[in-house]
Amino acid sequence: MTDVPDLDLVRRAATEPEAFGLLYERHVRRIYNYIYYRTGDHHDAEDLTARVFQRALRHVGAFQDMGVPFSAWLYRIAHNLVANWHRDRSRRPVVPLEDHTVLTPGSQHPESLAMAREVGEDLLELVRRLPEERQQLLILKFAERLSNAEIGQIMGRTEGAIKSLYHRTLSSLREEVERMQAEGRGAGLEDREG
Amino acid sequence: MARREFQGGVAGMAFSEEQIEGWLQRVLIPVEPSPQFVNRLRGRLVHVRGERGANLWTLVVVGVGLMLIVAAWMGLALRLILALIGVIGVYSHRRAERLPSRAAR
Repeated sequence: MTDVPDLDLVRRAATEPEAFGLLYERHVRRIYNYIYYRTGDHHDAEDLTARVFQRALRHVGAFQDMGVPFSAWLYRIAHNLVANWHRDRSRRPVVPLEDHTVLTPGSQHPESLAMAREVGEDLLELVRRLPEERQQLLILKFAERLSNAEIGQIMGRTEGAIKSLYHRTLSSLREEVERMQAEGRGAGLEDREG
Repeated sequence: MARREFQGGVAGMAFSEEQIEGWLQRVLIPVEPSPQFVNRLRGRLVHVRGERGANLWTLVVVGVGLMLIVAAWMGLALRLILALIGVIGVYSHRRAERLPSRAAR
């Protein structure tokens, strides 16, 4: 049953709890991951993930195969709920780095770990200053490891548009890093080649 | 070059997009929800579905029950009306019988 395509499960999910359970098992981690980076808090991520799947359960019978994967449908529900959450809170997301382990080759050493955390803190600060769609793109690309085509399906854009948006995002991030450097901030961000 | 800090003293240093990508790869790492949360939510979703099923059956039972009660009341009301009409009929028949006998006297 584990190799059954999502769309077959979706057709059965409206009447078979086991089919919806399998869809849930397949996607819950990715949806949680996405929401965590958009909200910056584990509790909020859990609460919103629960709401995503409750909404999906209510509307799974109405899901129509329009060439968009089920995961993209879930991401859109998650995106809408996160947008509402930000609107309700009227504040920018804050990612608490104390719960966030940045994996680097030398992360076992306390000094390397502290340094990696500093890098992460500075970069995440820059990322969360980006417009919402750029944040979404970076999270889907790096935290979710999705391809441009998959991101395009989720964000309702072409692969080319995503590629272009990605380069503009990288470029603006680079400018921000250089600006921080010029202002003497961003002490943790370093080039650590080799 | 192993490390090039970009603190205040080295302003104007240029960074490549590949470096930015490398940092992003190290910072935006996948995070996992706790297994307890995953199991709890799964249980809750099954419960929601079960509840929805139970609610549907409750509606059906309540609906059928109401229909039976209404039918029973309607049957009783119909019987009462018929009985009343019967009593009125008997009474008017007797009255009609009495009237010609008085006239004959």
